Amino acid sequence: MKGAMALLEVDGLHKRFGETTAVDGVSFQIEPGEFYGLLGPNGAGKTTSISLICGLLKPDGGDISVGGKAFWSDPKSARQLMGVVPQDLALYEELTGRENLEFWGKVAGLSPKDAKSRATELLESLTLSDRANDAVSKYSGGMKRRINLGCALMHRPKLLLLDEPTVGIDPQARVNILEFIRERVNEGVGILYTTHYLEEAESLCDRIGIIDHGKLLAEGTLADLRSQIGHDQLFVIEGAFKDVERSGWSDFNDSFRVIQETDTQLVVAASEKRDPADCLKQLLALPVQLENVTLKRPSLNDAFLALTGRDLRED
Amino acid sequence: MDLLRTLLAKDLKRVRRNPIPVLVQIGIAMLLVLVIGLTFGKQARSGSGFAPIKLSIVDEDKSVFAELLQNAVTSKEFAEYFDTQFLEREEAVALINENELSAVVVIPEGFTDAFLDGGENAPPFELIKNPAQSLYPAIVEEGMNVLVTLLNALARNFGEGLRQWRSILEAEEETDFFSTVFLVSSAIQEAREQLEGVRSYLSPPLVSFESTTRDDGRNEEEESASFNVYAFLFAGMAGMFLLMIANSATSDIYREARFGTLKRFSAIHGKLHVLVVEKMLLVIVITSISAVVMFLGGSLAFGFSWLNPVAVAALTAAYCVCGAGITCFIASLSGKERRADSINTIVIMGLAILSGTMVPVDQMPALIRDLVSPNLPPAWFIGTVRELQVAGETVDWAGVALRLVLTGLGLVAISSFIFHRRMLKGAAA
Repeated sequence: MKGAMALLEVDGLHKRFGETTAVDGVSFQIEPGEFYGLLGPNGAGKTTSISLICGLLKPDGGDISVGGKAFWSDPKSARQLMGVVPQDLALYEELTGRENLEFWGKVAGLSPKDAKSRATELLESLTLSDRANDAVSKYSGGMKRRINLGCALMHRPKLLLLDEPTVGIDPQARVNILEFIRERVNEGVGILYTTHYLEEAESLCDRIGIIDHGKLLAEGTLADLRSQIGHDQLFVIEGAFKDVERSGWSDFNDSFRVIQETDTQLVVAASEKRDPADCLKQLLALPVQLENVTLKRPSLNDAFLALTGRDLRED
Repeated sequence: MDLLRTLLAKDLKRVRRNPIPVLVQIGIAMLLVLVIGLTFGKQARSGSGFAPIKLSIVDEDKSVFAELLQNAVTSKEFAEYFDTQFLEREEAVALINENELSAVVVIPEGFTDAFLDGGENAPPFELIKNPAQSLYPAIVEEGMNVLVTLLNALARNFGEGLRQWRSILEAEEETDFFSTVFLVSSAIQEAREQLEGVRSYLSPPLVSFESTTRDDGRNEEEESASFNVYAFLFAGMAGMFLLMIANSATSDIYREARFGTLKRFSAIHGKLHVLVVEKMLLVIVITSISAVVMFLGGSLAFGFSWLNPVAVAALTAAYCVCGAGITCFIASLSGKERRADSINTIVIMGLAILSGTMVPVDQMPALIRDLVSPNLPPAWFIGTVRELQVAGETVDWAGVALRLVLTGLGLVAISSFIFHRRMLKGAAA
């Protein structure tokens, strides 16, 4: 997937905090107009990765290139290409929405005049014009999130780093924000989007990287990730699996990989691409009392489960 | 420079929209000065110190001693310190309960008789103290100790003479003039002879002192201002509360860290030095505005004037720079916001107390007075402002102001370096 001129290229990124390895050899790249999702549970290393990419933290190892240039060789230019939307609402509550936008625009180097006109433009796009002159403290959670996003876009960055920008808001506000971000992608802005919402990653991202314990476990399109775990098919077997010793099921163990198991259910994927009918026949012959066997397309959560052994929804 | 202006304008706008924290700090400083000033009474304005202590004397003896005491306590000198009323016991106790009196002294029945008989069987005085007050009743108690010691000395040394005087004072029968003259003369003669015995101890004293007041050519109004207790207190209180206000403004760095705006700024700019410098400017602006309100408002509210206002203003401005440096430095070392709040408050209170906010540095233990306080910037400020109020033009305030500014700038440079390192290490600020 390496293009001639990646907007962001991260190679073998490492960061430790004392004895804890927060980011462990993470590598990926983002092209202009690409929506890249970094999916992982809380504490997986998503925010640390973003902090390293935008220069808030210095990496212990690895390289970061922005716009073809190593970040730390010219951090000022690299920062100019980026807009960062932190997970926190990085706003001044005493100031109005417009004042916040203008302030961050000026901090990013816009003249007062340009900051004013760009703020008007963004307030319009974010459908906040009618509340532009209200103090942010009086905004709803969704409105604050929109202004938080707008502040990062004031200087028209080519690369947008979004750290869980929809945390804690209602579904409608989330849809509005995601639509707005999609529009930016259509304008050619490259997006690095961290989330632990599977649905967001599934519906938005062109490519997804799954990260856990600081390691990038897999990356690719949604289809790539699905096929990596189950050739587009998963079998859900319901039955009494408690106290069942599976080590003796040699055929089963050679032919299937267990993605998830509980006392009453097994989710398995065929180790090789096979006819589903053959697979079903083999599963129905298992020496255990079965209640039901169904076939389904693997989801991103299944991919996550297969890679980490954990359900992302548990976090 | 544009960035600095943008940052400062933003923060001043925030303070303007939420001025309560700063106003509360100024209000507390003014209130404390007012309360302490009122404790010392309205005469603090003229420098005489305490308001008269409200005292009642209950005379259950109805004797000549009480009459003598009545004359004594209504004298001008006594009245300057004691507002004395002669009341019945019930009335006096009722006033104590209403907190209208500091103490009641009861002269017991038969006291004069017993005293003039040599004092061996004299019933004790009764002192009823107001439990709601601490200072004034203690002063009255000390006064009673002095009085009792004096009366004991009189009874032991002049016992016989007292009986003689009693017979003269209480003579009810008509006596002829010559007999009276003879009795008085012999009593005086006896007292003189007794005093002659202790003359070598009493007169002339081997060591003596003279009390004079230096004439520095200042008029009464100036003199009154220089000794004004409010002005003295104010310098100390301002020294502490300007640091408190500086601390409150400096902790905005932690608020920025908490709200993520610090990270956002750092993600755009990389270095935090400009932000730390801006916070220092903000602290200077806020503390300067507070200082103007405190010093000007204080002198108007409490009726004193600064003898050298230009010097006080320059020193205060320099102290604001230094205060910004001190609080930035402490904040940079403290790490987390909650820890910073606690540490800063303790450090500032400690600095302020060791610098003479409450107790003049001269009155502190030698170790603190000689080794600690002289090295503390708040002590430079408080001490110099107080000196200015006493010695006027002769104080080297410019040197002190320069030292304060340089200390402040140095501390800001160090703290901005520490903040930047902390950020790169991944700490909150």
